[in-house]
Amino acid sequence: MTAVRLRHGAETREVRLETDAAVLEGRCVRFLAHRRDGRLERLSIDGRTHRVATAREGERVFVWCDGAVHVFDRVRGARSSTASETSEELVAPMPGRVRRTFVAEGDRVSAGQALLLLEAMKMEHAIRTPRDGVVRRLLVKEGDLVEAGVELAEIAEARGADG
Amino acid sequence: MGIETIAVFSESDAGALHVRHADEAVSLGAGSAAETYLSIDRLLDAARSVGVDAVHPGYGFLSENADFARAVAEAGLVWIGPSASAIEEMGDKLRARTRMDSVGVPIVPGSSPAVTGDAGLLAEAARIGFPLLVKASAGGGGKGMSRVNRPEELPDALEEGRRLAEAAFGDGTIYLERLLEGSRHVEFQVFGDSAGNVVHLFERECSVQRRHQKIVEETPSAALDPARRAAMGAAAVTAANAVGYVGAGTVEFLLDAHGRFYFLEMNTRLQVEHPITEAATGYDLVRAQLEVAGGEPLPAAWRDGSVEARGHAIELRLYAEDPVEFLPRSGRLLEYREPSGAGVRVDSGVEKNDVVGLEFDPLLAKLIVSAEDRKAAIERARRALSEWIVLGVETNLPLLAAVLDSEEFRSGGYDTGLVRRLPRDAANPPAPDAAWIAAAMADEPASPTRADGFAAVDDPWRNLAGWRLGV
Repeated sequence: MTAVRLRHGAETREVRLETDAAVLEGRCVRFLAHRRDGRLERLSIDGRTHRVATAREGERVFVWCDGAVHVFDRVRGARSSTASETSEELVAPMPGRVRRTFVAEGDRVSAGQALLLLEAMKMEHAIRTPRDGVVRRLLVKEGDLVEAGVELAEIAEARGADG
Repeated sequence: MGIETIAVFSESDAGALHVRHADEAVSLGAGSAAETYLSIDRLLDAARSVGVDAVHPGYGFLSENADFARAVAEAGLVWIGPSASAIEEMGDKLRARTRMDSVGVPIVPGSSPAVTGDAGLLAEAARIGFPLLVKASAGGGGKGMSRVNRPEELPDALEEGRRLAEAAFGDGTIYLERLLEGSRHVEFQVFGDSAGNVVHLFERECSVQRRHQKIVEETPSAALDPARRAAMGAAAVTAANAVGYVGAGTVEFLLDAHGRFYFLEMNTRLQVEHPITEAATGYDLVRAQLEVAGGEPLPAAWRDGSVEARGHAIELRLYAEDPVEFLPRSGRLLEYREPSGAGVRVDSGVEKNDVVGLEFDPLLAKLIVSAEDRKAAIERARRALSEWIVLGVETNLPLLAAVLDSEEFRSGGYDTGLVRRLPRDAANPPAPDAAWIAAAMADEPASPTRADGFAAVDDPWRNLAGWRLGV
């Protein structure tokens, strides 16, 4: 018997697996698993057969079920947050290349101002500061390749005349 | 046609699908796209090293680069495409607008090409009206434009528009265009030969867009009756004639809610969505490109206007991106199975275990379906989508399914706002119990069998830069 916490969109559920049943957040669902060459191919639940295919890499689980794909994340522990109250981290919303930086560390910026231009082929995406402040740290330079989720810059609240 | 195909590849694409499909492949060396696929010198060296007769630029990369077209011609090779001057004239969007206006092709109301300064543009904006678009003259294809809703936002938008245009295209020239809300994006396939014949091969409806980029195209367009089709087709031919167009090109129009149409831009190359025109007309457009490049006239049926479009064809683009925010995604294709069957074609650049990287366009594959009518084509496309198994990289498959399922798309009466109007959770449906259980059962895979890392995330056509014409 194994239990795993899974997140799908905004929803997180605990799924406990037993031999021929699963407990979804306390609700028992009986199922029959059909495998071919060790690979899960179909799940029968309440007399209905669902076609499935799965793939997992690290904590991310991809499930194809009856013609639709669902992406799950295995959750363990609480999410940590490193952003402090007085500064804001800006992370890359997509993988890409830093095409241009428009600011330097120490620059004063105002809410909505573009800090840098991120580019993936045929798409440019301006990274803007959500608030007024000072560029405390600029962690990338022009030409850098970044993955989604990588921290790009930190904007601190401006304090006093010299920030 | 008995033509040997030589592909080019950057070292990171050495194992890619297009390399294995070509008769021969030449390395452009290692490095970024700028050092390989965008390097005219390296491409010409590669062409000379194997003695090709002609160069096909594909789409993307240098396919609309006048310098490359000129360099190929100066190297004594055949350029499979329009002249460098036609590419230049259409590539500069302000210049293209002026040219179209002069030959009577309607253009979107916008600022005068003579006005580029702030004061002048502010005055022009008052005449054009809000909302409007600030556009980069060197942009196009949905790049380099931003929406301005109110006059007070304009000064900042002009400054930022110039800065972004300079950064992205090396040319800060901008202009203003009225934003035509509720309009459709309808384009015409045109073709010219070196004897001066120019024809059109009907339209493609391209209004299903996200981030100003197309994701679903269909032909015919539900918005055109025979009279409007004839009028727009004639305007497209006039546009192509104005620049002495040779080869395959596309004239893009906006069609407003009142049925008026306006020239948007011309793409001086073969387009990603050309297969639906092939499906509807039964002609191979790449073959026609090669024949025209070889000095032959357009097929007789094209010249005498007897080509007919039959049935209905739809193309759906599979992108490696999240289906809600539309931002690119990377990863490894842990599972990849394509749909098949009558009237179903998949043009793909990837296989299972390929790594989807950051360097190239996140377009993974295109699904092209054809059927006797629109309803049957939609049903066929929907079935094919549900058979497409892509795991390991997030894709826009759920968005494509949501588009096909929407009443607005099914009615045919949609415009470029369709994707924005879909319910936010349409592309992120709740998971059934079976999916939760399967997710809990999923084991981690054994380590990948292929260790060569990056494979091409690319349509084979894009990289096909070298062809050898038959003897």
